[in-house]
Amino acid sequence: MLSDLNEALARAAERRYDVCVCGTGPAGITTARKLAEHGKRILLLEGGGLSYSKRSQDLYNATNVGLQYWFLEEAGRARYFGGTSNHWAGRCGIFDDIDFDTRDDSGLPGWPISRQQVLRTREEAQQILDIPGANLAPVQDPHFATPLFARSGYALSPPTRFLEKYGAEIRQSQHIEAFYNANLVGVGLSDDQTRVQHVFVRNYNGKMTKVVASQFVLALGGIENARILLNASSQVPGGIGNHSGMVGRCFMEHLNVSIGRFLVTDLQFWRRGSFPLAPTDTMIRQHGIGNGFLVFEPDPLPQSSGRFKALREFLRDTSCAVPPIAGVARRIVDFDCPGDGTIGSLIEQAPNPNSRVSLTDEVDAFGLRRAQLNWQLSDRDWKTIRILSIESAKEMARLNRARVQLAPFILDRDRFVEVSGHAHHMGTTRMSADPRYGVVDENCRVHGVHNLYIGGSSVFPTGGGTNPTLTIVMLALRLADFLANQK
Amino acid sequence: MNRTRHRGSVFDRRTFLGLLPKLAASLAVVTIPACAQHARTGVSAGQDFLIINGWVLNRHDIFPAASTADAV
Repeated sequence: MLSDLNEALARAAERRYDVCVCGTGPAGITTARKLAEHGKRILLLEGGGLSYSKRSQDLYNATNVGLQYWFLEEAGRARYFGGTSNHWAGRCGIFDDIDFDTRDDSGLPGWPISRQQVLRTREEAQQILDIPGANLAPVQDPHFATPLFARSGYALSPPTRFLEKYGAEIRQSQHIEAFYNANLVGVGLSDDQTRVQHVFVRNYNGKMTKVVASQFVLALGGIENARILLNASSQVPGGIGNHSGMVGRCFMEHLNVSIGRFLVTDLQFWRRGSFPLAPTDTMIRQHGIGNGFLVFEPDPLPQSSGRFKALREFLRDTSCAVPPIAGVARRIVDFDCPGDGTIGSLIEQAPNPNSRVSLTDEVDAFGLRRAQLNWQLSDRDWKTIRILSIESAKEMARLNRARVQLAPFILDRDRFVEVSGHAHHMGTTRMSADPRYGVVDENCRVHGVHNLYIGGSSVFPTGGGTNPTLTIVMLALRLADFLANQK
Repeated sequence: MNRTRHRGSVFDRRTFLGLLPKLAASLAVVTIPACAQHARTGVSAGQDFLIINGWVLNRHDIFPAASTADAV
């Protein structure tokens, strides 16, 4: 059943549920559906409505005090039913073996569970995301024979919009009671602070109710999960699960850096289209860098974007025919000429406690303190960007597939690196068997609170070198199976 | 990533030949000595490569004789 909490406030408090799932993105909906399959009574809560509204979205307004970041608000987070599945691009991949190894350069432990444990639900997760049977493993390309790089494996979801695809099922479900316009505003712990007894939920008419369940799952997104835990400080100073001060720390993105451009030197090779290139384990270990992939995209007519779009296009159209002039013009405004290939990237960021979500003193419409992001990169991240760029360029030249012109900041440490993200918010409630280094245990349970669990990429201890949604769904299925077996 | 960007087929021979002067022109505008770039990058281009004006090149792209000598 699907109801509006603005109109059905009393009904949410009538029943006692087995599991209360807060958040309706891929993690929340997947957890709820799987638990319903197990016959559990589920309360599913969404703070926004069934479509975008400014009133709901404004609750995500946050402050940024770190690196420039575009994905704190609407561009990166959608606060309505279906969550960020409403605007994701659909690229799916799986973590490599090496992503589950502890790499000691960050000083923090890696995943406390194995790749096999995560991938156990892979087939089902791929069905959920409409990529059944897709082979996602990197492959050695016979036309690009090198021990340093492989062709990155991935599949494109349509992309699956969770409200569109699963809304009817939720409406008709006998096991799921879903409410939208239902904002989680507080968490009530038992006196000994080891159990959640109820959560407080508000609608937009100023009414609040208390809902009771045996288990609670927060699946609100990588920034909001941390914000809710930090705000829940009335009973636990510093917030729930924050005994070691790790809530909100280790915020990670996948780095999006335009590392340069290239000219093709092997027409036959590039007739296949774009070439996604991922470092092999050998390469990662040899250089002590992170994972990721670079997409070499031959581009007949590069499109411009951003504030200087018109200027870039004017310069492209007028100067590219005379390369020396284009060269001079590019020193002023960077633009691509027809025939240039572009190089996109998704590069792993190492966990870094100084990169964090915390709270400001400003409060939202419900009285919760707003989030503050301080996104920081470490020396290892800069090294990963530079090594992947230079080594891939060398292999392109060595194999005579292309010649790469690297962006000036790749070659000059003193220059500012133009880095962005991919709207992947990870790590703020990281998984660790040792409570000193994380917020949740290997079953996604908040350390010290027996019936509070976290869903989504905020539990990732490391971000890996691929898009996170498939892993989020696999972990949600794993969490649901675990919860189904709890008394 | 934007999956919907326009794609077309431009890789005919004439286009390719048109690109060669661009590469030559870029090489001609050598503004930063390769060795200085190596020093500032902290990452060596290696014995077989040069970095000139940002272009990562095989050494024999520039010095064909050297590659012959290496082969010998």
